[in-house]
Amino acid sequence: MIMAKLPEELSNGMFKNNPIFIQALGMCPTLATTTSATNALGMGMATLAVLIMSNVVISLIRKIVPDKIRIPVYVIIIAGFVTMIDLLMHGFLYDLWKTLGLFIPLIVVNCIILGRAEAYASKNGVFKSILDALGMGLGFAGALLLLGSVREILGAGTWFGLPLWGDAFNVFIMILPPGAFITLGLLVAGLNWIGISKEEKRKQKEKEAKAAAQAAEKAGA
Amino acid sequence: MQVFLIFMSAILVNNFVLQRFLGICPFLGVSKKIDTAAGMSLAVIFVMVLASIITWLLNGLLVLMGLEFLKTIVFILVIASLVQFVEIFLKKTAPALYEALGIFLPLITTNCAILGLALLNIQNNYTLIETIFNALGAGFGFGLALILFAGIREQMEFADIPKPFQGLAGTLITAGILSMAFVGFSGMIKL
Amino acid sequence: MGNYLKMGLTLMAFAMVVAILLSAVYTITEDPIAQSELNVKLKSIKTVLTDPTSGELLIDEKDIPESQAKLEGMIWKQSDEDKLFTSDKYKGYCASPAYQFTLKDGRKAYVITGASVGYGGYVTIMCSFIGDADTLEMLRMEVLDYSQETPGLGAKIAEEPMKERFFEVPDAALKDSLKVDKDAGVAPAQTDAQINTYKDDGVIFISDLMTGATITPRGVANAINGMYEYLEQELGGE
Repeated sequence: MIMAKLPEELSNGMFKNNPIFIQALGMCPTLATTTSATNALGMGMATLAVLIMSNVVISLIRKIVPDKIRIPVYVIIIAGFVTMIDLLMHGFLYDLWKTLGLFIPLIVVNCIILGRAEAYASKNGVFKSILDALGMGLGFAGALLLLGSVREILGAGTWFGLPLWGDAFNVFIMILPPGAFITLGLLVAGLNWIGISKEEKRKQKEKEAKAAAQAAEKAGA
Repeated sequence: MQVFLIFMSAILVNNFVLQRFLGICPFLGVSKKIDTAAGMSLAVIFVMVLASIITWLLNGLLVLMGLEFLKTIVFILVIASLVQFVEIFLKKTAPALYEALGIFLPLITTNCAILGLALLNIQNNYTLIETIFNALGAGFGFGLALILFAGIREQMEFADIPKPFQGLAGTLITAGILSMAFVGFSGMIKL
Repeated sequence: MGNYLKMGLTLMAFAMVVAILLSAVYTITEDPIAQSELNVKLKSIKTVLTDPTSGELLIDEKDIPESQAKLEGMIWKQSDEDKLFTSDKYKGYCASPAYQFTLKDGRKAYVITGASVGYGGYVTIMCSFIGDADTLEMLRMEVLDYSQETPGLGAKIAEEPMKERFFEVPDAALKDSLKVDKDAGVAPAQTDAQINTYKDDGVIFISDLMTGATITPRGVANAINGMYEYLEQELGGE
């Protein structure tokens, strides 16, 4: 499968340790900005941009930052990039900027960014840190896009603003806060269920292999 | 009268956690037991009110100097420092609570509710008094949601939850139902 | 102590570097930001000066301002603060500046930005009023800021069918102040003709499009009332 071909840093963030579904980090923007697929994607991309830039810089300066003040330094750097993205979006992507509103500066407190800075970028080289940022960022953006799409399709009958069945079938609560919680909960449950059944199949195979090996031994002995 | 409405609105109609989606991480993380939830809430209320006042004053200064774009950096540094002080203070005066809160105390810094609150106060052009009441309301609303949720989760410990729903999934769905209850408060307050 | 000082200074050094880099970005984005904000404003002005039925632009193409300087040439009233006028009655305000344009047919059009309290905060709208002291019709309304309203509920105010309910409100309706149907206590309108009759009496019918979200359209109605109050004061009508 594709997973085998991707470098480990990438697949880690995107699947195995997906920041939202597995680590449960960065919940606030996940629930708040996924009222539509466009908003979700915009938020995901903005966060990805900040994540990559901050990982790069923090990895570059990792040897010159005194250990005791490393967290405040990381925070300053991350806040700097977030403000940069905020200004750039204000000037060049006005509509998206207006919609995402408060949550753009809130990227600063997205635990994913500080988390990766502390856990990875401060201990690894630049190239690897970029991959890690890409992995986590894409994992985050992907999860956001999934949630946003489900909420938009079920809640408004459109996808990226393009009507699918329009007003014909609207589960209205999807767009409201409860819809966010419940949809994410169901998605996580769904992923858990897939994980659990995979695990059970694996255990089943192990059992069968063991039984076959034992039978072979008996036959041989 | 206006400040009272702002206060009530922040608790119920625009509850920071269940309506505005601010403060979800601690909401999901510290709500396993009611007393930890209560302790966390008190710490958050304290930080929220102090942070709101300081950031409001600093914003005035930034505007005067034409450096408004440095708002985000300044605010988050103020919050981080405040949390440090609260940590040191708690360690000396209430060590049991300090131990119980553990890693979640420094995590108040990344609690989007605090930064979100500070930014909202500015966005809504609140006066200092309105800011304080908004902060109090936000803190109490956060505490209310947290404690309610902790109560539910303590009960959930005894429930027989199907495997896929154990952990994060079940917690989220329960939060969704609680959020639904709060949607019922819409329109209650006519500012 | 010396250690703390050293750490503090290092921290400050990092902060300074970041602040300087940010200032650079800020200076680069200052103009695009101003341009974006201006474009949004110009687009709204153009929209409210377009006839909703015929789709025709009521003002000469060449009279449409394209730059900040030209826009300022069309200012009718402005004040030193943000607001021209605060209405306690309608819990809203009119923002500074207000513009005056001359239409193709010679009539005067006043474009005002105003707001009133909605669900989570102010709902900001822009309206065009055409006429003079004796008769003032509100031609068209455009919603500028509804970010404090609930997505999916109050946010519907920005959708075309909803906005259209507020278009072409006659003078008589404005004089008695606009109300949404829920506040006026009238039965739901069954036909388009009935919607228009209601409008002539100052009642805006909204409950079919915005179920359970009366607060936002009420805010819009109040904002319009506030603007009319201001215009009456400035133009000195009956």
